[in-house]
Amino acid sequence: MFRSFPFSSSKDVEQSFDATRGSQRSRSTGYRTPFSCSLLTCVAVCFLSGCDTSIEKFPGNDLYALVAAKREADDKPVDLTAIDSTLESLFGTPNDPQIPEPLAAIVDVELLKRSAGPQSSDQAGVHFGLFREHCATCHGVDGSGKGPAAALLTPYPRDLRPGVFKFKSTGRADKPTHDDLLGLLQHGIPGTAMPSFATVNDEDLEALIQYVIYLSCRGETERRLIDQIMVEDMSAESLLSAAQASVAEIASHWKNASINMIPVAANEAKTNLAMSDDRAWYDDETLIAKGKALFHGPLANCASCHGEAGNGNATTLDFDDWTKEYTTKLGISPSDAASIKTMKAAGALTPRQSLPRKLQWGIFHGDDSDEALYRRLVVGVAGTPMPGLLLKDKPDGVGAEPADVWAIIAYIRSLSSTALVARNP
Amino acid sequence: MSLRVVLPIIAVAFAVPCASFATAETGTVKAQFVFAGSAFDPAAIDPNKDAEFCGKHPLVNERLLVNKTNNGIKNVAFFVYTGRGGSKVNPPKSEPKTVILANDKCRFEPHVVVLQVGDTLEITNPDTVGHNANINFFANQSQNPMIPPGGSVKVKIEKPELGVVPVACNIHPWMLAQVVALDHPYAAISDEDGMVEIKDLPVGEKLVFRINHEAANSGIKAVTMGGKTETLKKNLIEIEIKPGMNDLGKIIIPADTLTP
Repeated sequence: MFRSFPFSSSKDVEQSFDATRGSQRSRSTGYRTPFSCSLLTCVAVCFLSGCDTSIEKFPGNDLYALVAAKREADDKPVDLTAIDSTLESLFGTPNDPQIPEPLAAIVDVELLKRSAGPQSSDQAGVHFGLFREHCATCHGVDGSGKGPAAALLTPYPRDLRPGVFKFKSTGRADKPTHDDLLGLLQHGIPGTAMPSFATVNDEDLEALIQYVIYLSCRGETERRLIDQIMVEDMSAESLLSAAQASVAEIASHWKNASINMIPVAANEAKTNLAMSDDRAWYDDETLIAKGKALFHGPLANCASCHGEAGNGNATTLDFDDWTKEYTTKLGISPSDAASIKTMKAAGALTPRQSLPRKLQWGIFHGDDSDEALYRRLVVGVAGTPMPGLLLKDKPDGVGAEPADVWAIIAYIRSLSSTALVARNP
Repeated sequence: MSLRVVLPIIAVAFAVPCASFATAETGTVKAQFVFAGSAFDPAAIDPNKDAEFCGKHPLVNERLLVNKTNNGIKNVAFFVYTGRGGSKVNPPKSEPKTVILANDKCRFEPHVVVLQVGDTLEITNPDTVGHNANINFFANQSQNPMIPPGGSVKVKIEKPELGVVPVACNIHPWMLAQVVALDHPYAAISDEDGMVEIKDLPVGEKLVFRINHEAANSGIKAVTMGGKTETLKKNLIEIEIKPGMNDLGKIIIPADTLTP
């Protein structure tokens, strides 16, 4: 778990990305002085040991309100009071959730109630307050990705509110399927702080998946309302009907996610493998050589970001979309300390570089099955700089063929140290 | 009277009111965006990716391009603003068109692209190295396709965009562009001389325009127009459109407003 050591990894990252800022760095990071270290530890211990704060209402998305204002060259964010009360009437509170009608088809209110509220368990051992038990420390009580532990983690926990998810079997702009989310909970995300929850029973996992969808839908609705109120004043009635229309649209995306699953083309290298041959389909020198050429070639241009032979040494300075939303998308540089301070005051976390995967580690954040890797290459990874390869739409067209994608996967699999050892005993 | 005399008289009789009817209906706005600071040579970019190919062509930081002859500012987006506190416009229906954004010699051409809802953005790659186009839309679906050499990707603009949308090639990180997508055609991007011209604007009312530039980090708070300082709120300026030509002359942007 190369990234699991919070202090050293964040220091390394900040060193590499603001190498020119010199002495300014120590003032702005706050991790460097002994006093702030011990203060941070105290705070972290206090939160992580479970001091119970009363959570009556969902906090408003102040960061997005500021982002929406800055987009309009305005420094003053819109007042969220009216929006928050509209959302409360539809979605309820952290302790008492409600399901707006369009979401009722995918979310079960009884399961949702077990995810919500404070933690407890009954005599039969049934747990309540599951989201706070398992998720809120990192993801926050509102799914903002800004739980008490968030600032210590690289990469940061997911902010569910934009409704963008990285690891899924569907298209780049689509929602993940139910099974995609279940897979993430069961396997965790290797290489990040997201653990596996395989020890949690199936019904609890189901309750958590539904709460994730509920929080994401609520968060996305809030953002749309903020966008709309930036365009024109809205009465309580018009806010409510706008919210209901948004929920209906967002809920339909969740409901239809499985329709948008990306088909995985047949892998001829696998089907052509003789029954008697017990090696893996990707353990083929010709195929690996083909993949190597594609990896370093102009069509896919993988090496430019992932480094030669996937060594992760290419120079990059890039950020994920969650970070860009409050920085580069507004024309603010992530190393502009003064502007970042304003965004952090509204709820942003310190921008952290999004690093291209060092493929030689052989650790893939999402599912590392053949199908998942195929989709990763063809769709890219939503919310990140990782693009999707263009597949040819006709035999003599421009672009990649499925066989090219499988060859690249074979090459990538050959890069990890275990694979190298196996091939060169 | 003979037909030879009457017909021309009738023709003129129809022509005159038609001509004045046409000019009375629309106006054209013209302006030149000028930088109050001194012109400078933009910083050269040393490509660290695909250096063999990209290094062949001179690349500069295009964030702020000021004309050395007349201080004109390139790539200022000037358009009628229909958001909060803006104008309501009812443009005539126009034919959807395709606008090309090319990954050309390791830079995006043009740097700022303007589209209307219904148009198609076609991103091409005439280079021999692979590029990607990471388009972070607000309202339309965000995209990030690889565009192989000789390939192209079409993106249909379904909704107007709330702000200026950044486009980046993540592989060659100096490659940046912007997309302006509106629900009307009243927009222009300034050329190398800082000139903009928007035709067929509705007349007889004050229209709210937005002035947007990539290098204006803290917004454009004031400009000098016709010798007067105009204060802008949210980068917006109100201009009354009279029939025919409305030449606003030089719109001077203060030096500290734009940072290269």
